[in-house]
Amino acid sequence: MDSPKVLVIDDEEIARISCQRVLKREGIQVTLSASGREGLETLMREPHDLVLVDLKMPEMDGVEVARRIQHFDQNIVVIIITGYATIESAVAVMKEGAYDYLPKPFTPDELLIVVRRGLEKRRLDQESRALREEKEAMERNFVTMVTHQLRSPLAAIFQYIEVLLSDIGGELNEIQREMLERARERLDGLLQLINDWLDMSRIQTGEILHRLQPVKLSSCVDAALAGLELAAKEKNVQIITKLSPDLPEVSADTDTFREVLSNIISNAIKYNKPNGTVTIEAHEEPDWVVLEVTDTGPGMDEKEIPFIFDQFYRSKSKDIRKMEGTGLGLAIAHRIVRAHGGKIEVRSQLGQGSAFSIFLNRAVAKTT
Amino acid sequence: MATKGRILIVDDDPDFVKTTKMILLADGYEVLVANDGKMGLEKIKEVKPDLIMLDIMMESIFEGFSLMGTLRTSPDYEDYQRIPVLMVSSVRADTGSRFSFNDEEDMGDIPQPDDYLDKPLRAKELLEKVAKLIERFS
Repeated sequence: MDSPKVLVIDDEEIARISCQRVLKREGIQVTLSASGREGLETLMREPHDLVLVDLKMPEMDGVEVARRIQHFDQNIVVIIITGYATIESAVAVMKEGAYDYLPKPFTPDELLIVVRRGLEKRRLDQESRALREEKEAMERNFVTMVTHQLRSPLAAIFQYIEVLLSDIGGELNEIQREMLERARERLDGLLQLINDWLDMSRIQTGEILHRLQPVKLSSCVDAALAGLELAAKEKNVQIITKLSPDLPEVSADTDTFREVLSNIISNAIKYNKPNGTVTIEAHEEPDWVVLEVTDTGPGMDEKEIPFIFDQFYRSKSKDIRKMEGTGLGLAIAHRIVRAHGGKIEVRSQLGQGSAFSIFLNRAVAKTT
Repeated sequence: MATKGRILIVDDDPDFVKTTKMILLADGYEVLVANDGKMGLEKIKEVKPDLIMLDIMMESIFEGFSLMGTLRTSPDYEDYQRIPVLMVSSVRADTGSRFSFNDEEDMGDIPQPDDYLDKPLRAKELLEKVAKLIERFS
């Protein structure tokens, strides 16, 4: 980083000069202004990282200067120097967005501590802003990559199957037709997932909130299970559903919530042992209706749990790495449930299986 | 044998072209192909199709739209500008189902296609749309 730039605004020449001397020794570039107005003009002309401004000045006082700086650029760190270090004056300047204040008289060390801290804050702010921008750009690029590079080839494959199933390439026998239909279904699922994820990356929490309606948990579970029967059969995993008919309806957006269930249950099937079970239960808590999906799979290391809902996170475990996965399923589920105003929690122990709990709000009776 | 209509596919994905062509041929259409926007414009004059199936995302997102623009507004294409255009893309999410762009200023005033389909095309849906468009504009 270039050497930081500090502007000192003080009507007393001695105060300005001594600040300059102390800060220059630290390799800080210092600009001096004798009045608030002059200082603000300097700021407009050339950017500074931090401004030290005296509270009591004729014409425009420090509080007013701080206020105007904040208005002009909130990222400039403002520190007020005050000979009247009362609680009241400190509160007043902090209210105007000053970062800190320095009571007069101060020693060079005191000045340095406050300025260094202010500059550090400035640096961290800039860094986190840059990181945030970088992350957003990456997410945008990823969306483009997925849409074009992934969907186009899938669409081409899908259409070949579509042509074959239309008997355009010749009559199909029963077995061929069945296999191709199955392939088309799976491809459909994959395309659907890509679409959903794309939608997801655009979905605003508000839009899901808008579509919330009273929904029976059991019908959501049934809908999700319909697409997973084959996967369960292949892996010889038994799915046990224990949902009481007395459960209250939950407040959910059926489409996205089915995606959540489908993700969680298909994980429970996929990361299970052969002949294992997946148990789907629900219970009520004072604030929530909780749906629990428990598997008899390998479980997770405690250390991994905080990360499993991150985008593209995949388990470090070799057994799990062997299996296909995008590292998106749980991230999507998490995002959707959060947008529902709910939460997901996990309990897991290595070798003991995992239990995912989805907390949803009870449906509010419709007032019509 | 008279065909049900002459369709020009403008698309740079050979697999998409091949499969779409097969579906249309089997249903009794005559099908011609252009692999890019420039060739598309030439073919339009050459064969005067009853319908144009246009991919939005060829080399760049502008190629499909620029063909649309030329077809609809250029004096050179006065005799052809009534030909219906069915726009096709696998990047629906980028364009939005109502062809609205996030950055509208960037895209300028784009003439709207007559209808729109997402890739992959489903045979039934495609044939329905095609038949409707040709009928509407004939």
